[in-house]
Amino acid sequence: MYLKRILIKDLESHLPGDIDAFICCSSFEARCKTIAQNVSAKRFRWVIIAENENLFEVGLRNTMEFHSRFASKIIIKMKVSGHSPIITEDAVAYSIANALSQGAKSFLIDTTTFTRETLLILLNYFHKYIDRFGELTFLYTSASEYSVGDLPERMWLSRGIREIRSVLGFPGNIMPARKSHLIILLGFEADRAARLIEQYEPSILSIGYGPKDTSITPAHHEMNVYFCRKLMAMYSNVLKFSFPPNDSLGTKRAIQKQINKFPNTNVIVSGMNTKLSTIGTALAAFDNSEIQLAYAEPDIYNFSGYSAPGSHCYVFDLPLR
Amino acid sequence: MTPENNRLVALLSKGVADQCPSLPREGNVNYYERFRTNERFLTTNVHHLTTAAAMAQQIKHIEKLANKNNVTRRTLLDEIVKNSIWLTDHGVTHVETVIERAAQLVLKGNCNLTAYEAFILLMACHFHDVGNVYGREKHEQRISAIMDSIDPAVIGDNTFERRLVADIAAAHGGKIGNDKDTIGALPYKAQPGPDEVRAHLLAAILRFADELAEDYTRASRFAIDHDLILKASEVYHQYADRLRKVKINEGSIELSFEINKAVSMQKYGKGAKQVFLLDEIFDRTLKLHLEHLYCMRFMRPYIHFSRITIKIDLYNSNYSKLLRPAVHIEYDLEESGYPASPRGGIHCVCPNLVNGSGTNWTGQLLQNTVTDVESD
Amino acid sequence: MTKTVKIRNPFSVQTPEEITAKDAVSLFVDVFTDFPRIPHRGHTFVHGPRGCGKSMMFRYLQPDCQCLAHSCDIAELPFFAIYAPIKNTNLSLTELIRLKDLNLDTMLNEHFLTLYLAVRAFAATEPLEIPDKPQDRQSVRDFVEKHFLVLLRRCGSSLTHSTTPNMSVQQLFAFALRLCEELYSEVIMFLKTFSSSAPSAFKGPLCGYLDFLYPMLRQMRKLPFMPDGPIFLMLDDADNLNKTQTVILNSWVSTRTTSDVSLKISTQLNYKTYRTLAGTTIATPHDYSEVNIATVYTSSRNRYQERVREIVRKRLSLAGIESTPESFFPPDREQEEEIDRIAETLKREWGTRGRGYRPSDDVVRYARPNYIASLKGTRKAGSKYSYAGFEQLVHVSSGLVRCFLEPASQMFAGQVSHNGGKPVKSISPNLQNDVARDESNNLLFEEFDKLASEEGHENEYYTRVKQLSNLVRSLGGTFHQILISNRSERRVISIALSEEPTPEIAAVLKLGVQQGYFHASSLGNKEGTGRTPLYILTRRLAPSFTLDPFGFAGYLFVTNGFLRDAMSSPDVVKRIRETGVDSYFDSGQLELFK
Repeated sequence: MYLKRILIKDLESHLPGDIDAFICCSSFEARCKTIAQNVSAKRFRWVIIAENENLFEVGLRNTMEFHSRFASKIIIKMKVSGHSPIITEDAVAYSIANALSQGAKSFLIDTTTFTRETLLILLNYFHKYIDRFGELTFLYTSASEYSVGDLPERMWLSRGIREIRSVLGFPGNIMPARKSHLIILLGFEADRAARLIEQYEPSILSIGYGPKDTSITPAHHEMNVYFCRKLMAMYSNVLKFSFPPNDSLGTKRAIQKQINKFPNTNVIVSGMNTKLSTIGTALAAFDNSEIQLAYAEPDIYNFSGYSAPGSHCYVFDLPLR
Repeated sequence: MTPENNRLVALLSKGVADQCPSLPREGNVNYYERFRTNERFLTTNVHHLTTAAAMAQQIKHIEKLANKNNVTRRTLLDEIVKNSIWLTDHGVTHVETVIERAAQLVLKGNCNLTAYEAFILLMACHFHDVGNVYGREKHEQRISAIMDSIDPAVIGDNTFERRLVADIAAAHGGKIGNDKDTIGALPYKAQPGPDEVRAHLLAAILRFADELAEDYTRASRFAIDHDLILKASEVYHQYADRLRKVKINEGSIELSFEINKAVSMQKYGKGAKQVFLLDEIFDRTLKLHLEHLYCMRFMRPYIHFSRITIKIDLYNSNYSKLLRPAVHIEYDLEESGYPASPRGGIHCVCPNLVNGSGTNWTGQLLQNTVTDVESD
Repeated sequence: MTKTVKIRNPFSVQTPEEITAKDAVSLFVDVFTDFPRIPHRGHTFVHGPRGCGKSMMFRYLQPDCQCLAHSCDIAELPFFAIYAPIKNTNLSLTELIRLKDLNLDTMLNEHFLTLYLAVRAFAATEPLEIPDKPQDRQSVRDFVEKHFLVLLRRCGSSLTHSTTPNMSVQQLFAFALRLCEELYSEVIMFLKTFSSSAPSAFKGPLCGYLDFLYPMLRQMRKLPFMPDGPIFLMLDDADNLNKTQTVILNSWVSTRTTSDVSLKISTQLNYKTYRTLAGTTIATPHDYSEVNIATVYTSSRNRYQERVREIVRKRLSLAGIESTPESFFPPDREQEEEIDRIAETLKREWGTRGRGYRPSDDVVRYARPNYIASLKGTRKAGSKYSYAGFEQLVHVSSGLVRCFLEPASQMFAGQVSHNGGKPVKSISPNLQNDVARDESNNLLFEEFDKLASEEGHENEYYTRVKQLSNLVRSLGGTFHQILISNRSERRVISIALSEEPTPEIAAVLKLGVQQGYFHASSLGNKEGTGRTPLYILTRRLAPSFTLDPFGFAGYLFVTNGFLRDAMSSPDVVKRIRETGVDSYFDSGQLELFK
């Protein structure tokens, strides 16, 4: 598996020669366009644009820009839903199968602005039908800033939890008589993690957080440390562990290591950190079908200031075969 | 074999040909073929056994009892009488009649059965009495055991489908605990979605069709004429034999009995008793009326009959012409007039009208209860 | 070299499942005099918000705790309780949504739920000291071979497993448990591979309550070491079942099986429906009895206080801390002395200026409110009302034990840190007050505060949350204004609705109850024509609005107009402050409880 962090302006030179289809996700975030604006449309014939029916209006302008940029291509819409994972899975299957049936084999996937759940469902599709595909290249645009313009103590990305559910395709093997081990890759939103913990009431709780230098701001690293301490004061079986948020394979290994400490438990993993680490949770689940992935659907996003695009992106492949 | 022009078979056949979406697509099963295969299997191996096997079970029961110590002669004789039921036909002819009746109910109604529902109903018709091979008592609860013994290549390995057929078939009779509401107790949604099988409707159609299938095709004229029927079962066979016509019209049903002088004057064995055929007709048609009211609950709004008309005519001895002066008894069984209060009062209608300890609420109970409650 | 000894936090929250029987029995305070129906035969719903003690009750009812508590064998117990926690994604897997509106939906959900409970039933035997004599082994073998396996086969199982002759009792139960787990896994595998575009047939057995679970449990009851009494199936947090599973469970409740099996179902007031498969509705009392823990403890504060005192006393004792709850959580001495001085003044002046029937009435009604009012306007740093003190903290927890224990746990951790690791004998009033205020502010601001910046991107739920936020702040502010006014009754923290609420208002109030900001109750109206809905603001917010947490004797009658204003903006408080409470609310609106 390779993983390269590059300047976005150098993207073209790091892409494989052979790409049939480009998959991207239209969103309210400006970052959704970064890769599309920096990759030559000549490279591929098909463009699959994921559009979230629940966020369609807030992302409409960006959606129209995508359609305009790729007007000469065969555009396939992937109408996903933030509320209904069934609609999302069907849309993923339909749109990709459509491209495959027309001859597409190798895909370039911009993972940046997919919701975590949609991204996981997409990865599951690739994993399940990997033999139908040629080369799969993944991209992720980093952000220069989150919660743009807000003071550290006022930063937010999303609010409220509409629903907590298992991710479609990753039900795990939750046995009624076993103890539960909840593993949370903690990100920015400790309150959402708290809600998840309240819902699951696990026997064992493992909180993962990235090293200080990978945190959005030093203040957030401190907040996460404080949150962990608070949990440890409240609950009796809380463990901390570290994972590399910008390395999917590394995240996978960290999760596996944590799981091995408590064999014979029902393992539920929720990635609340970077998309790359969320991909790591999927890799862990592919190797170990006992893992259930859980997703807490936010009620509302910080539409106006979620993020600002950075100057770097990640190019990587994944061990899906 | 059920003819191709039977409404239900035609519905199924067309549904398969049109690849109707109601038919499950798993395993590329041809549901018409599956029905015919099961029909052939049961016809060849099971249906013809039901009557004889039920009798054999009764004999086994008597044998077992006779081998016990301290069983008195009186007890043994009573058990022999109780277990001397020679069932009317429960074989292929009866199944064909039930299917025919069910098809007519569907035709005269407005249920728009899907092809899959037609399949399920046809299968349930075939399986509803197979449990009799293990004996009459609780035969409807033994359907699953028979199904489990059939090769999955014949019956299919879709557990849910087999379960659905067995449950619908079993609801045609019997009780759950002391409760005869077997259709209401079916573990399926009372208001199913558009793609779901209407289990309660199909169970009610089967149950009512079974009631309407108790006609002369179930009786053996030869056995009756040669006095071969066991005493305790005589009236059941006469009843069946004398029911000459069942006509299902739009909104009403007609049952026509033909009896002659000899039949009307004689009493027939019914268990340990002796009864007139006319009295048996009254009892059985009243039961039919109650079944009608019960099944209508689940058949509404798709199928509705407002009336069952019973006609009884007296014929000459060989039934070639009506007797003169004519004796014609006709009556309608329908909901009419103001409903009568049940003898048990409101507690009969509302068994839930009880307090926390399960005692019926009455004025006296309330007075006793509030006496212990502190005033504001 | 000094040895660092880790100090055990006596208030740390363990999920009741994790607590050993010994600890559970030590910690448990008998609440069944408050809820007598729960440990008796009959289906029961136990409602209450998170943290009110439902799971702890269920833990205590389990046979290992009961045997320890009553020093007896299993056979001597009055019932055998099987605990079945329904966690968020145990049973309501997302994959099940694919079955919606398909024929298999009901059957497979029932099969899944049935197997889940069957596994829990066998798992319940693991921690028990079940005799393993030859006759016990034979009974259990007969149960497994002649009932359990037969029932499974009748449900369509083609498993050919059988027991081996020298299996012990525990091994036999483990064998049955593993079989059920195998079938449970099969369902998950089926769901994983199920596709709407190419649906596969389910080929496994289909077990239900009436054809498998109930007859199995009935036979299990007859085992020689089992009690004569019924089996309790305790489903904890049944809100987490999906809609189909909820309907199925209701159908089970409607069956008359309580002589053998009683269902004890806890909910967090979010139970999806009471409809059954037949389309009817289960109802109390004929199908089940019902207990709302929050209602009992909100309406009977003395009982709750006693319960918490006992819980805290036990926890301190278990941790080796020789303090009473009151001395462990001392109040702010200076504040209490000042309040006592005010009380003395009120008693002295009652003869000339008193309002209540007795001097003590005036003390209760006015001492603390007068003190709080006296703090208003003072510029002294730190001159804020303190919520320290065991009694105050109990009141602030608002009938939810967890809302006492969680802050207490933080207070303890803070005090340990402050003490430099030395043993803790009490929590400083300042620390108590800080934590109580933090908790209150978290409850108030967590979800609400930052939403204000997101105008224009609203969905229905978001709008309702915002309205609830405004309503809570409006009412909190209003109650504070009443508290510091000169009215005869100032300790008001409830509203009564003087008219039928509009659907919008009803939805916001319902959300408030669900989220724990209000507790719903009712009053008999004067006309005798029915009951008036009453909404009591949670005392957990008392620190945010500087309210007197010690009890309440009044409620404010409000109209839809007032509620609409309050929901649209907390500015109503400004208007009340400017106009004065007396002018804003006419005399009929502020009423006393009898």
